[in-house]
Amino acid sequence: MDLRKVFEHTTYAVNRRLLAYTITIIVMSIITSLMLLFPGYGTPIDVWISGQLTIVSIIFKILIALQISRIAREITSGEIQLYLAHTLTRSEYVLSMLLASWFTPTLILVSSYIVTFTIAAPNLVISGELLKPLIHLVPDLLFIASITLFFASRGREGIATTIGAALPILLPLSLSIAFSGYMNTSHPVYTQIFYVFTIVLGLMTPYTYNLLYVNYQNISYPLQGNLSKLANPTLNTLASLALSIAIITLTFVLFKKKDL
Amino acid sequence: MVEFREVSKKFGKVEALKNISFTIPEKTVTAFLGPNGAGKTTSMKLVMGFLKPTKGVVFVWGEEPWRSEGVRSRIGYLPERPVYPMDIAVENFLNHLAKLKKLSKIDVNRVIRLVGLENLVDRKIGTLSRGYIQRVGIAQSLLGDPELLILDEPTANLDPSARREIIELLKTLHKELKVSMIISSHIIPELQEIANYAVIINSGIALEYGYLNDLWRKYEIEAIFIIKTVDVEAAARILIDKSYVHYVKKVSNSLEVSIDPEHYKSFENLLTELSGLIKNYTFKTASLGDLYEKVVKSGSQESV
Repeated sequence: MDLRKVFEHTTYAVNRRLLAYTITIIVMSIITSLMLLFPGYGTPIDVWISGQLTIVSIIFKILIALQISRIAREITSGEIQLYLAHTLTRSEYVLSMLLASWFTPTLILVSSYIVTFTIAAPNLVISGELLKPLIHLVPDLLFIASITLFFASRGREGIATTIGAALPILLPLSLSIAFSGYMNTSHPVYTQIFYVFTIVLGLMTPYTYNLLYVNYQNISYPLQGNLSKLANPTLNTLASLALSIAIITLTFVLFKKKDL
Repeated sequence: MVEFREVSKKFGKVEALKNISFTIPEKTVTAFLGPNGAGKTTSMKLVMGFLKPTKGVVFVWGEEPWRSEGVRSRIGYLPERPVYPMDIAVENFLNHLAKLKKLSKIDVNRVIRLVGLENLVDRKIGTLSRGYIQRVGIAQSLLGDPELLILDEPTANLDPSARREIIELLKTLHKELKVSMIISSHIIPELQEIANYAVIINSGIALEYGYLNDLWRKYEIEAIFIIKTVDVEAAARILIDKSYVHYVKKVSNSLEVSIDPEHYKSFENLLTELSGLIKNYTFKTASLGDLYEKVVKSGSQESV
């Protein structure tokens, strides 16, 4: 793989596509920075702040999904043939599109975390305490990117766009219901069902899983569900990361054999 | 240069190519002939490695383009449909493709000049006419001086004057760059002006392939020359004496001479010998169309 060509095509794709979303990205980054100032100056993260940060992450996920789903259009229109005809390999093409559509927005979001915390609480940045949410946020964005990339690389723009736009909203919502159901139900069958859903959906949105897990950890009144039976958020995030990497690897393998 | 060895390609239940075999040698301009849906685009995509054969093997310079993606660096490709990004300026688009091939801006400027796009480099591709978009396509296919140009319907959907311009451009390119070409078209007379080799394909089957001179002889296609001379009468007297000349007709100040295609070369030698008498000559014949019809007819008779 020629990384120079990957970088070249990534830059081209970012300039062409992502710049159209510049205003959205700037506004979202500002909201993120403002929300992060509170914990940066010592205010604990409450539901309102975490809600705002979740909304920002959802918008970023939708943005990433929409960008990636356009790969399908390049495949079906035949535009991809032009790039491949000029020595870009199939793997280099997919990698550059992934970098342009996932890595660049993610880098911007991560930067807004780092910059804000560096200004507000440099000591906590050095200790790594305030950057903990990023450990879950980046794999969360990667999961949406990987699943959208899989369908987009098959030339299924409709499915990729629908899934990419729906999952960022449906996953946190469904996981909240499943998590809440698990923690607040005593019926053994329902508890079992909610448990399975929480585990599965948790893999798909590790950022939300972490938020819910931490929130339930801080609840003082007695709950029906046993939090310790659920996967630790870090373990869940690692499993989610492994799942995303597996989906991306499968995408690369299948794309090498795809008729264009 | 290109070899198809018993290649089949299926898309679902549709069999686009059926056990097709042919070769295309180096330094040829190949007319890839066949009606719409014959399998021309599928064959070209197989040469580019965009498709994987369902059965058989495609070789390009001894390598399978499907497996060796590096083969594409030696090929320039013009796709059938105008699939260019419409929201980008001509120069930016060509610069990007050039960077992928590690080419400089000088190379980009050269192809821009070659195809006559100098005054339109800042325009977005979407604002250009179909003829100029096709020039952008040809420009990108020429980047990096490819050894082989694959042009899929280069004149499709163009008006007659734009078609003429593109054909003239291709003729110039072949003359100046000596590049091999595979050109598909279902408009046969256009290709006649530049092609010296043909692959005739119909319903996914290769009916015939070879040098046009050989195919004309094989299918007994009449060859017609238009000759401009300083003395029409004298030239006519010399030419009519030749046993392989079918007829000599005076057309305004020129002669129209029909010959047996087997004597094509010796007739050309004769015209060279008569350079004092002959001002110039052009090969004007409907033979490619005739050839196509004869090949298709004999192909369908064989299949019956």
